[in-house]
Amino acid sequence: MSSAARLSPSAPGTGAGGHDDRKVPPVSDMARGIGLSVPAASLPDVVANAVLLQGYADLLAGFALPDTCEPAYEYTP
Amino acid sequence: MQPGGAAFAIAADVRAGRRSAVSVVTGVIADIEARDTRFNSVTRILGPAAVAQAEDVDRAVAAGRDPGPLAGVPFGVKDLFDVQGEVTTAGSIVLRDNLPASRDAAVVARLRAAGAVPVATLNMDEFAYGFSTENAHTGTTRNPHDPACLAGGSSGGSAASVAAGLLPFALGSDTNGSIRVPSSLCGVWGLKPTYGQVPLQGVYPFVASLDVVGPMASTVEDLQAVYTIMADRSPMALPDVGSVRVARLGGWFASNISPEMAAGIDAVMAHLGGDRVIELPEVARARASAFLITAAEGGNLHLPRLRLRSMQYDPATRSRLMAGAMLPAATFVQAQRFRRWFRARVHEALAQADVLVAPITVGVAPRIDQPAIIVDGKSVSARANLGIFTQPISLTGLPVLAVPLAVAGMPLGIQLVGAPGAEDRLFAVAAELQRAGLAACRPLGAGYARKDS
Repeated sequence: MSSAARLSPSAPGTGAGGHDDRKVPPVSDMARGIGLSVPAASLPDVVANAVLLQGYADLLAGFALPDTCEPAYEYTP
Repeated sequence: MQPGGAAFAIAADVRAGRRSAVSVVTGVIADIEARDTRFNSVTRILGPAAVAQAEDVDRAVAAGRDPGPLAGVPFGVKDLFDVQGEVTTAGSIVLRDNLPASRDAAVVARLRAAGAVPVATLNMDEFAYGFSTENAHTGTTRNPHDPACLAGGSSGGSAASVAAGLLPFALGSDTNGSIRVPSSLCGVWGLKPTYGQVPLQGVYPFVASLDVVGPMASTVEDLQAVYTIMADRSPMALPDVGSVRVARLGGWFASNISPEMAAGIDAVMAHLGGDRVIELPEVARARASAFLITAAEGGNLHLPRLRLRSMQYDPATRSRLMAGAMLPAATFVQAQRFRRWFRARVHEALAQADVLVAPITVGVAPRIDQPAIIVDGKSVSARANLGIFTQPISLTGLPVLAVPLAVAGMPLGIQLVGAPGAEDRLFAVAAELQRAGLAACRPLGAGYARKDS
């Protein structure tokens, strides 16, 4: 099966849809937690990007990795 | 130097005293000033310093000293490479008050030591975060083959300057496809070397887990020569192309591509005699992992400045970096774990073939006034999605050579993906495709090739 069939999250601001059925991350709270102030004018775009990233995170979280699979911090191709 | 390349021809003339390095450099600068207003590929011309270095080259020739294999060859650097005496902007006004670089980036120094002369810094997406070279501070770089179209990014100025015939080669960086995407859309040769192979000292960072620097050039011979110097490698003896096992990537990499791209890959595979198709597993998640690692590391890198002066950022970059800075640790770690898993699957594929062939982009360059592409039947942002075929490969850190297909009309490019450290096999296949007429960079009138009158 082509994995393209599972492609999902679309880019923000494209009108491509796909955002309505996803939970919206609490951007203002998350920003406060890291000492970041999001300008009001930027908030819609930041939210759109956070939703996009949440979609990718959900996609990744749906894949079970063995406990022995370590993070690739010191990566050698 | 490799015979046959544009850079080779310049260096041969300079070394033999048939052209002076000063005349080459001043001619290229004049050409940029005359023609780049159409493309906006150059952000700064390094005039006095370039002429001074060219004078040094000419003095070496006159004195009978070896001026280096790239004697007098002009080149440009994406605006994130340190050039001594210049402020490295990374395509942003955010860094404009930094001190000028006290020395060259390591790869710039290596090229300069070989006699090459940096003459210009080149446009890019702000902080390399994009695939389109649409920059709120420095403007949009236009595709030389149709200025109504995008050049791609983030190394768009590098690709466009080569495609326009302004420079024989340029340097770019590639985190998610930033050498490969503009190479494809502008029809130039490009190389993303194996991750970790070419030094990043003096290169403004973006995503430490993925960042690579490499050359873009008008001939595969020049690409190989410049890469060899950048990587401080001995000249490569290429393997017999008949001994290189080639397969095409299916599944994800066969979906969403234009008929022209499909036909181009068919022709390449028919010529190379490879009928094997390999389908990598979980490519969508590989792309997701690259996206998330990029967002998290890029966001973290810029968080201190975003707290203090976020409004200086390009609005599109600002929102992406802010969202990335807020990603939970669990997501970032999961992406890094997935990278480990995907690496093993890709190495299983490389046990079956030495070179994997894949598209770079879904099709030709989108129009600037309609910066979107079609993916899964939906119109999506070009800036964020031109890398759907490059991002999964970026996650692996494998070397990739971007090949400009010899197509009619707007350019298209394919990826040749190899095993770690096996750039020689990529160059063997690329050289064969150029020899067979299936691959070609067709720059607009090359001013640097004009001899002194």
